Amino acid sequence: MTTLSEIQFRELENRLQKAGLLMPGLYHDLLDHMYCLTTKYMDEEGKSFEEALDKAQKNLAPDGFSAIEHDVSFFLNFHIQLRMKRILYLGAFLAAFGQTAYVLFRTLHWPGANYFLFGGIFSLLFLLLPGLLFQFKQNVDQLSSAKKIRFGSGVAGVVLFALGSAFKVFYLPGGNVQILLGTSLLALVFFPLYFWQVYKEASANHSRVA
Amino acid sequence: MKHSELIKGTLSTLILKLLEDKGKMYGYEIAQEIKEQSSGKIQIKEGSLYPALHKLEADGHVWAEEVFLGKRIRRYYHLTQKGKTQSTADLNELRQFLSTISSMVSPQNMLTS
Repeated sequence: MTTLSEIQFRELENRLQKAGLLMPGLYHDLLDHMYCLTTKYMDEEGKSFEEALDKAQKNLAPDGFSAIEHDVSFFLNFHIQLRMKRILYLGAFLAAFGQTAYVLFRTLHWPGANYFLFGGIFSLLFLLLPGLLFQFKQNVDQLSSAKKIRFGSGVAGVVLFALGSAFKVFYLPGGNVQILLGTSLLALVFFPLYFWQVYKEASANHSRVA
Repeated sequence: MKHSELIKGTLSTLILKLLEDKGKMYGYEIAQEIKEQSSGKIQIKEGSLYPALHKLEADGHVWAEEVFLGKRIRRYYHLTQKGKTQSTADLNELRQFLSTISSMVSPQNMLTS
């Protein structure tokens, strides 16, 4: 069986280190696996080191080494993620309910509108936002730049709008500016990006099926 | 036949069974053994082995022994006592499931239904 030279081994290590794997156990597993596959292709198929290394990487990690780490992390944190999703959806429901009820109560001049507003803002800041940030952190490597911008503009827009509303209720200065910034972010960045991406994904799905 | 879809739910059971039979194995060896024992019919994506292996390790069903091979480390996976119990339970469940499916798709059954 072929043994890799010092330089070849370093090249192998470089490929894995570029992926920036954070789990040492997985790093050692993948390095050993890559080593075995590379030498196998060199021995059995007579490939050069570079060809064998490329083929080994394509075989072991067609979507990249970090995709494997992402899958491992998903498997290990599945229950935590499930719990976070429940908190996220509960927070989203309460925040949306609070804001909707606030608008209804305020429009009809019913008493207690502000309680709904503050309940909605509380849910937004302490349930929905932490849940969203956790999800974002978990998937940040898989997200395109456009999706990162969409996430940032959506979160900033909603938070600014909600805080601006609260500022206005208390007649604090800066409420109007926050609402203006929040709605601008939502209307000019978040919604166009969101609907464009949904349209693109639907087109891609259609082309795959049709 | 889409073996990869069928194998998804049984990969952990297969790993536990192999470790029970062989004592200790490393990742590449497990992937090769699955291919060899299935005469190449089961072609798992080799990268998909590690999420299953590391989950088994986190759940305490296997433990890893690290051995230096020159400059790299090879992780040999061993079955724990908990893993042996799990393996037996999983294999029994899998056999029952396969038997049920087999009886459902057998030609005799197909003709009478």
